[in-house]
Amino acid sequence: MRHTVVSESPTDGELLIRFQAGHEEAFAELYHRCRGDIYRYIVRVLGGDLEAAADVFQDTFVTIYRQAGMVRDAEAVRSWIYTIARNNCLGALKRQKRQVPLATEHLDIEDLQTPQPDDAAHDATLKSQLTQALAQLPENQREAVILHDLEGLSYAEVAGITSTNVGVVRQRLWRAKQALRIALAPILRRQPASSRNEDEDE
Amino acid sequence: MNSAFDNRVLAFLDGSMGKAEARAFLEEVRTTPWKGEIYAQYRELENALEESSVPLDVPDALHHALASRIPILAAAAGKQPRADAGGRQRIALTAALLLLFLGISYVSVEYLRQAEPAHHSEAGEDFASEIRSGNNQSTPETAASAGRVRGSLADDGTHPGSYSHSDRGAPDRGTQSDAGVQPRDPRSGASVAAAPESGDRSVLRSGSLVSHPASQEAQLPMNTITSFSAALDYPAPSSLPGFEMPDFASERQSPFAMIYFLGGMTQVIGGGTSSGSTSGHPGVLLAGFRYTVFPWLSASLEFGQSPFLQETLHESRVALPGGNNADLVVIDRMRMRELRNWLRFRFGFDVAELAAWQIEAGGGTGMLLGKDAAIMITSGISAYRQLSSMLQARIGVNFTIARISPAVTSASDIVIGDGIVGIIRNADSAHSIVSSGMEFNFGIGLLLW
Repeated sequence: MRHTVVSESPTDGELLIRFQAGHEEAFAELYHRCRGDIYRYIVRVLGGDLEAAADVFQDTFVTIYRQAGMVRDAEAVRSWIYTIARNNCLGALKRQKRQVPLATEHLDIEDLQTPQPDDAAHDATLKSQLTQALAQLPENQREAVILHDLEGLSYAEVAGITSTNVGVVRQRLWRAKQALRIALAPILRRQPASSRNEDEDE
Repeated sequence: MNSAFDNRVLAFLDGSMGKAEARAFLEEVRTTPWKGEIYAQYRELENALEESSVPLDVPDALHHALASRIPILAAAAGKQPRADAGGRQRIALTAALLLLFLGISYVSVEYLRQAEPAHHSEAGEDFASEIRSGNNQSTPETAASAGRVRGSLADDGTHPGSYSHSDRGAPDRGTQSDAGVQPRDPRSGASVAAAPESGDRSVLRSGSLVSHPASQEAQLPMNTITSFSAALDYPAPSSLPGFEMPDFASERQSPFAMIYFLGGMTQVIGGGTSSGSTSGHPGVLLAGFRYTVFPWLSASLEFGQSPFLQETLHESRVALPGGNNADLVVIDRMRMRELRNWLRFRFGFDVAELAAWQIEAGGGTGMLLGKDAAIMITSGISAYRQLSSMLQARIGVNFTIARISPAVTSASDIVIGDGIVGIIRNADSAHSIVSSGMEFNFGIGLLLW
């Protein structure tokens, strides 16, 4: 989801600067603005483990609250918040000794969203399969998809969060989407069997 | 898995493909069915990813648990902007400013009307001065046969420092015959009764007006309350299992409450008529409980104390010149400042945010405790700034007005004799007056919940 900023509202960076200046209500506004995105991101990264997500969510914002004064690049505040969330997620995963979560016993992310109408059964199936396919991706590719396509961050922001560069992020994304397309091909539009070979000369 | 065409589709979708190449790509997709199929699959995948990015609401229990670790989140829950708050804020600010303007206007008129008593004592002093310099025409002997004589007031009201006509003269004019020969001040017209000189000189002979012991100063020095408790930091994050917070998610927003302690100075408008005396604490001290009813409206109950003006009768003794041990008594009205306790209720409306300060306009009413239980009305503007999650700095200016009953309604009888040879009675009674003041306060507020 792309984050839209109303022209009259302060930007995330301006809120952070105000918070650094002692205006604590700015922190509250920043929290209310991005809590949904961060919570969703954490739930996704932790594979729908809501109990672990709750702990990571709290730790993330407590860390943000404590360390906000040390941020120098206020315009990158959103990346910084995601970085903290990501680090906490990785710490939680490490503690749980899990490599890639999203086990089937955990709650699917789509289960937390608006129920699909009956006539959208295809979309519901696609989303469900997408969740499963995401879980099968290598961790760095899955992370790139979550941050870029699901959280709406730019390549540069994803690169900053994952400590890589834009080229690497793009490569990971492309590989991830190619894998997703192939994995979901049965429920996407039918792919011609001969397409792959004919395209080799491109 | 990787293919050149897949890469071209992804490059086109993320906008990294050049314009010419993009045109060629689209033409290729349009004319080659299997490429069109792959392109359509990627588009559907992109749509599915985008639709999966719906924000996920944070559960209330999780939000409340976090708010227990970062209390500003709970406090701010009641301060989220509302779409319809702007109109109310403008109305509130307009009403508060109008009330403030009307109050100041009223008191200004009242002050100008009541400021004249300040000259009364000067009149008495001028008169006494003239007496001392020999302008009086009386002799002690002329009233010797009068025995107990009261001085009468014959002020015709022409003196610029005189009170209204209803306050002077008339009731006592009939006593002039009892006073025998009475000297008349050529300026004030006050007549003076003379009495035989007495050898007992226990009275003060300072040569000027002597303040009544109960009188207070007319000038109002402004003291400042300079100390208040140290700031509190927000508590260290800690897990509070089972902690239940109010529901902040409702439309009305959950209220929160705080207490505050303010001190400062008060400039009482309108002066008294006595000088040379001192008063105690001239400032304001108050403690309040504030409850946020809506994000834009708060209600407060305040208990405090501040000075008010009160009218009373004032007696002073003036020594006559010539060393004949004769004094005059001048009776006049005066205003004294008195520290009063009060309890008041007020509303506050959030009207603006300036820098890190939240501006609030408000007004209310209350009662002075004890004595006359006068009603007070207050209006003003205050501002507060969040210092930490639980601590606020608060400043404010209030205009307060109350109608105060007189301290002494009538003067005690003064007997000629024992050194008193005459009485100048400029007033027979004290009246209720409107006392007002500007209150400048500052202090701290502590969030309770």
